[in-house]
Amino acid sequence: MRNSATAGRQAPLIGLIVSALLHGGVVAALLITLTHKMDFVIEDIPVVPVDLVTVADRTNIAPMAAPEPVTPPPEPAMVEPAPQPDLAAPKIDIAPNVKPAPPMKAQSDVDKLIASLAEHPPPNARAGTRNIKGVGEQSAMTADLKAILKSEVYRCWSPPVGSPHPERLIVKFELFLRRDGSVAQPPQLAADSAAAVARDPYMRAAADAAQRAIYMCAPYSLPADRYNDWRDVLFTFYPADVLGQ
Amino acid sequence: MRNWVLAVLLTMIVAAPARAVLQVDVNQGNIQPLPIAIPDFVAASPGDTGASQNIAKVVRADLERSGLFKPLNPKSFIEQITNINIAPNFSNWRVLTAQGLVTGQAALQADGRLRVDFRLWDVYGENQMLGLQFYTQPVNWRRIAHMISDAIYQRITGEKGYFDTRIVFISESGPALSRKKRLAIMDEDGANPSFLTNGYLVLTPRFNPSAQMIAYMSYIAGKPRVYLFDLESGRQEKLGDFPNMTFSPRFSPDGNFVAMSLEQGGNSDIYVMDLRTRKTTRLTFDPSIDTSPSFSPDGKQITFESDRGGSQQIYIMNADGSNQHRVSFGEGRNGTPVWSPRGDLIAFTKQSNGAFRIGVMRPDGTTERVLSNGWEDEGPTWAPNGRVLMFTRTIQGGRGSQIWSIDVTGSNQRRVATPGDASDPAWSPLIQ
Repeated sequence: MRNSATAGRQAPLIGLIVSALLHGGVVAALLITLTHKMDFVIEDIPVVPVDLVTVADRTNIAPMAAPEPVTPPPEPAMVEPAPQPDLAAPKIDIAPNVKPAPPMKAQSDVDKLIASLAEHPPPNARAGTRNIKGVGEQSAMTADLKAILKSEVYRCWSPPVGSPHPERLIVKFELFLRRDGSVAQPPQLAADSAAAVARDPYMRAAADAAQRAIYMCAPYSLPADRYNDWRDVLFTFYPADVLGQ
Repeated sequence: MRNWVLAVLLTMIVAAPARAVLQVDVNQGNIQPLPIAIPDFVAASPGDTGASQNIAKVVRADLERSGLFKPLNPKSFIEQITNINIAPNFSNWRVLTAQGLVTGQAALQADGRLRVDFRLWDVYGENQMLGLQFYTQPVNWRRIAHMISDAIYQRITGEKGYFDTRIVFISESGPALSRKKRLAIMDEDGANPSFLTNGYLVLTPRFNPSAQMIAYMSYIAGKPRVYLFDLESGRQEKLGDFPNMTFSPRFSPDGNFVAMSLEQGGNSDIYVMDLRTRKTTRLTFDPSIDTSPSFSPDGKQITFESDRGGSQQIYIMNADGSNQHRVSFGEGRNGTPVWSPRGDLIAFTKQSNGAFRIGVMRPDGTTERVLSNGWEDEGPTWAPNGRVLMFTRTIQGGRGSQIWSIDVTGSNQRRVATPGDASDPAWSPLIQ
């Protein structure tokens, strides 16, 4: 009984101690949890200095101080297509063949056109020859020449690969060849190719590759006695065929 | 009427060619790397010899690594470039079979900056194709070299380069059972590797469009969550406060959104978070595993993987979640789709015949091509020009993982230099 009374007196004290311990435990747990969260927040991450340089200036490089020495063509006279009797400028006497307009009558549009043609012949105008071959005949007669040129130039042609639309990168180059098979002057892009090159960097890269091929594989081994058949060449390059796309 | 007939006849006579032009169609080629000569740059002022040599060396290595160029051995050069403002003697370079020639110079300026000039020459056309000038602090010479490589690459191929970029990846070390995986970063050529995190498991790092922020999944505090890491400040933050696992993050092309997966009760769906408002929108509601979202370059569509059809396949939906449809119908399983920055292809991991390979296909699912040939290749990432891919290659027999790269044509497969084992590469955009 005494023990019970003693126990009864001690019960609040024990309860207090237990309560204090429990509260202390809760606080400790909170602290531990908070500490853990703090660990997350202040995670020790080494700050890596990452180079964030902005290039101060970037412009097209200044023109060369000295004028670029242009390598003179070995045969200056051949830089322009060699004049051939059948390539003479259109005869000015074309106009006389046309019935002259009445002197006092106002010129018609056609008359003006004729007069204009006589005075300012188109740059690519050439007089006709009597031995122009028919298209079919021409193709048959020059098939071997085409095969020769094709077999020679393809070895040097490495078209740019991986462009998104290779089927659009068809490049046409017009060029004049000398009798020894060398390229007489820089190949000229056909008008449609030139327009595409001006607006599309992929097309420009394709044109560059085609031009390199034309230069690298020259001079071409072609029969000299048929020079008139292969003097003017139009190369058309089809990258998609090479890339299998 | 007579006049008109006459005019037509006249025009025909005048314009008629004297001879037919020989028309030659070239539809065969010989695809070869472009031989290019890159002599050491001219040291235009005392004290910068190192930079002038090192820049040329890095440019040579960059271009060679692309597989599209064949830099010639400098020891074979006949002509020594001493002044880049005078046209070279092209015949001296033609005999070496060089088709391109790069001449350059480096000069320290009075203000301490490094000035670098270079010219790209067409050896056969005998003209200058490109000429650029850069100023920077001398310590940044390597970046200048990469920018020169990019400029040459773009001029020759028609598309932007990828040399002035970085790769984030997971650096792996330690035994298989307690593998330490740390977030690491390096230049595209493997130079300047650094660790960004230390101690926590991290996965799937992805760059934002400015290349200054990385999203990734980390097991910080034991819970997998998506975090953002700011490269400039080194600060990282948790992306959102979701009750369950978030993973597989990917930025939108404008950098304003992050698409990611959120797992709930074994089902994962794709969500997108607006980084400006931190508002989250759920995009998929299917009771299946939808994950690995990747935006199209215009930001209007998202490709992702899902097993809703019975096996893991590639799907596409609009950026608002509408019009979800399957696009991969090929053999095996297909996952981890990544839309090319160029928009023309989707790269993915193909699992078939017991192997994992990297493949590409058009966004409509057609013209699928398998590119790589490893035993376990997975997790492709695109170069910013959409021309080259990197991926993780796990070596058979538990011999670790490596990062490899491959051209989109399937050629030029080569290992990327990393410090130790590495996985999960992510290619940055071109650094601004």
